[in-house]
Amino acid sequence: MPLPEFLQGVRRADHGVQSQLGLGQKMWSDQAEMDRILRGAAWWMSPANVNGYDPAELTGLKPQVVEAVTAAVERFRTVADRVSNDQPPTEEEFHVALEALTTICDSLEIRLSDPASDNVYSAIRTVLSTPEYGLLGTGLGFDFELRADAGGEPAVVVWLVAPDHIDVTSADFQVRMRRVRQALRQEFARRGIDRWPFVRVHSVSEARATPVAVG
Amino acid sequence: MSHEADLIEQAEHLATRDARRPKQANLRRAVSAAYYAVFHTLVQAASTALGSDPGIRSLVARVPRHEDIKRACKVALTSGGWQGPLRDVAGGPAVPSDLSLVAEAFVELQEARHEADYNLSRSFTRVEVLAQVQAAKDAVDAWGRVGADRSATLFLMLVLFGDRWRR
Repeated sequence: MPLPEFLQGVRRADHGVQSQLGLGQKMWSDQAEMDRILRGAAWWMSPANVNGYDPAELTGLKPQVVEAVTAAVERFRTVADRVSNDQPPTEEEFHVALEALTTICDSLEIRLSDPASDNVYSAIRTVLSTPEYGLLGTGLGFDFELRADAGGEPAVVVWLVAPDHIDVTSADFQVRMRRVRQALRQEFARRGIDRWPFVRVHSVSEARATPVAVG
Repeated sequence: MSHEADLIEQAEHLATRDARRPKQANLRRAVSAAYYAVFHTLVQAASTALGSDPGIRSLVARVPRHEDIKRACKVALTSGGWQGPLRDVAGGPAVPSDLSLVAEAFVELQEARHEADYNLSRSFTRVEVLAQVQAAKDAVDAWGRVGADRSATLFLMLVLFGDRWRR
């Protein structure tokens, strides 16, 4: 089942980009902002996010589109392979990965295109952009997944990405997680989002290495 | 050491025992043990609330259902605190912060436990599991501070009877 794995990985990378940059936001307006983005880019610039790509599975697409996607996947993989967990990518590497990802997403029409996802994305971003709730101020970003919980009720699983050195068992971290959860519930209620937010965390190196769940 | 403390210790042990690449089986069992530490804390509190007779308590301990406890937790976490008749009984909307902490941890852990036991397509990470085990530990500690106020008793009523009080 390589295609679902590939699509899921690309979505994860795309969520990672969007969580850092914001939809339509101008991202390299100043160097400090660019440095922050580069520090948080390692987790979505992971070769694992294009695992499972097989051009033969892209049936129904024009040959030149498949060719463009194949080339973009190769560019993304090459640059992602050079990134390490503890060393931010260079600006050039970042832009190559971003351009490749954008090409893949546009060609395959993978985007946060439905209003429900947009609203949830916007709510999460609103909460995490608030200094009071922003997780450790690291700006490493987040991923999320709309789904039903174990009881069949609508839910959102939010994945926060923390730097490798963070101690998630510390009282400070646990308090921040609780504040984020509470703020998300309030923001969801304010926007009429009838979904329970579950909030998890993993480190940059784990996010880079963890294969996406499919199914 | 209490059963709940043993479960937390077991969860910590399983989450940290593999030095390099943690085995999924260990991480999954750690999540499960952490969840059951909080579950048994609440079940024991609910059964104790009905009296000191050991026989009665052991029978009552079989009553709570996982989904009822989750629902009770969600009610306690509702924005604005206790609502409607629950607010009247509690004497106000405020839910003690330690009770909120327990409720929040329970909801998170129950979902994680379900994934750990039934969703083999997804991988757990050590950082994720350590955060969850710590949340369980904090919840067990927090319950010890909740005390026997009206909010706590009300919450335990919801734990035992779910939302059947609405009839």
